[in-house]
Amino acid sequence: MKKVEEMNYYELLNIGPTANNEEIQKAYHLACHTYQTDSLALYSVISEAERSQILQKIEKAYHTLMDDREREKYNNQLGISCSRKGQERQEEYDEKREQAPSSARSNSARGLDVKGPDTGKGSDTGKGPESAKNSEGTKQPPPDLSDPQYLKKLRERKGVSLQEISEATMISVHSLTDLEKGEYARFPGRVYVVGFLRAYAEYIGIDVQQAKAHFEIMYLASSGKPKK
Amino acid sequence: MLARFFQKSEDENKQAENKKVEKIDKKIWAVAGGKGGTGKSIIASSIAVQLARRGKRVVIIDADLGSGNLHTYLGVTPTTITLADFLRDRTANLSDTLTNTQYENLFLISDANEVLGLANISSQIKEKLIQQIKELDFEYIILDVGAGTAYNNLDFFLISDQGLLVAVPEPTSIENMYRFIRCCLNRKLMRRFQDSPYQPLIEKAAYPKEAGGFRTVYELVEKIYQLDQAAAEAMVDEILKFKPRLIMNQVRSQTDIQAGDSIRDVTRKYLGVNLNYIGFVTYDDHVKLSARKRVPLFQEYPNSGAAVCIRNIVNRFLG
Repeated sequence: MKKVEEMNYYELLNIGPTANNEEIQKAYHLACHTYQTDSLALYSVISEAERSQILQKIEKAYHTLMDDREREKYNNQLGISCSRKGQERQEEYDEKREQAPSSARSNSARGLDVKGPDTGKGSDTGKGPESAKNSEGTKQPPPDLSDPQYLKKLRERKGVSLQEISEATMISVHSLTDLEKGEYARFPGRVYVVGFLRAYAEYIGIDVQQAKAHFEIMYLASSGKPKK
Repeated sequence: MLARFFQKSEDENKQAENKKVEKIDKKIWAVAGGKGGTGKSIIASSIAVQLARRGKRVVIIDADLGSGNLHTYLGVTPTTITLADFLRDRTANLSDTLTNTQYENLFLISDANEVLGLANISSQIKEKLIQQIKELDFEYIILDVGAGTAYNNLDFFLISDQGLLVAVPEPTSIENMYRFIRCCLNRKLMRRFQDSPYQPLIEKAAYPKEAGGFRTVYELVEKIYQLDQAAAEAMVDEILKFKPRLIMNQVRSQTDIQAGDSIRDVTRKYLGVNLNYIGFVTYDDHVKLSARKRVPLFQEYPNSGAAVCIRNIVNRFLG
């Protein structure tokens, strides 16, 4: 039980000492979202000065933990050592990343996961926290689920073609186009839409639940009259 | 002790991140939120209907004393006998006020009345009501708690096995939800430690802006830890038992959805409470339409976005 001001970098980011770069980046992005200017979650809880101070500490935490040497020095200060388990997790992650399809790697490297965090390694992508922050919400705000172009925009930002998805999922380009346009009436039934949507979302690496939430919104909007 | 607390909190947090809601077999669920108009009643009634549709024997109680309108969301015509009859001692048993709904195994205890002063019941009547709520013979008892931090609302929330907080992505809703969490925790601690020598210190935590008041629960625990480690440990255990769950309602964007994660984090770090973010419900005009028609959302629009989201939340609870 600690005050936020007394938390170490791991505690501040809600990660364990064995967290790999991917986990650190995810945690960093959530922390940036939480402590951003006019944060909804912080409303009435802390002052602007406190918010700014914690955000600076988050930036410092990110820089330190993403740098192997700095992290080692910091761990020594805390009296913890990066366990073998942590190193193994990182190696496993690197290995998976190497084996991933080229499109998935490029998506990851672009840091355009709809969930926000860049899933690629910072050192490989050359993306620093500033650029990461940009993808979070300043220059590239997260897509709106009620945006009819939601799927298409995400796919294009990730640089994945419909043809590529079609080859991987065995769903025709025509159907994928209908899916993106919200032409749900052209599918044999709702179950097909949901199934195709899942395959689509999983392939381009976006959150399936959010894609389904988008579908629910668009489905209702497109049906004109609510369906029972 | 402090390290132990933190470790427990960390474990809880990881659970929340993984969005794994443990299966439960306890039966009282309270739906609250601190702010009016966040969708508490529609979510409470929809959860009750969904449980009933899954074959559970359910009663939903309109615990929004003086402002109840659950009957409208459930499409039940106001009956002659309501909760007011029990509260005014016109009937001895709460079970006498049960009303049928269109679902065979779902019952309502309605608060549809215009009785002056019903929102201000005495503590004796409230205790009697709580006792009889606990004795109701149902698999699930859903309490639709009113807005605000009146003791009635806090106490109804605190008797539940599962406390669900409904918030919408607006500053006023979030502010009131934090206020509700703080007040609930203070109320819980004051009740648990009412005969303790540290009761005056706990009271100070309830007035954070007064001189000598504690701004956060951490400061309170720290102070008691300096005086009595065992008492502080008991207090931490009590704090850890308080695990409300968050539902973000009326979300329209990914940012709204992600706000739930941030709120969970802020609640843990600044309020010392393990809030579990269990899901979101999309903004959906069908909710309003079903209310206008005075029929349950699940009856009229079972495949609407909001209904799907609520069904997902219930399914995750039931497994």
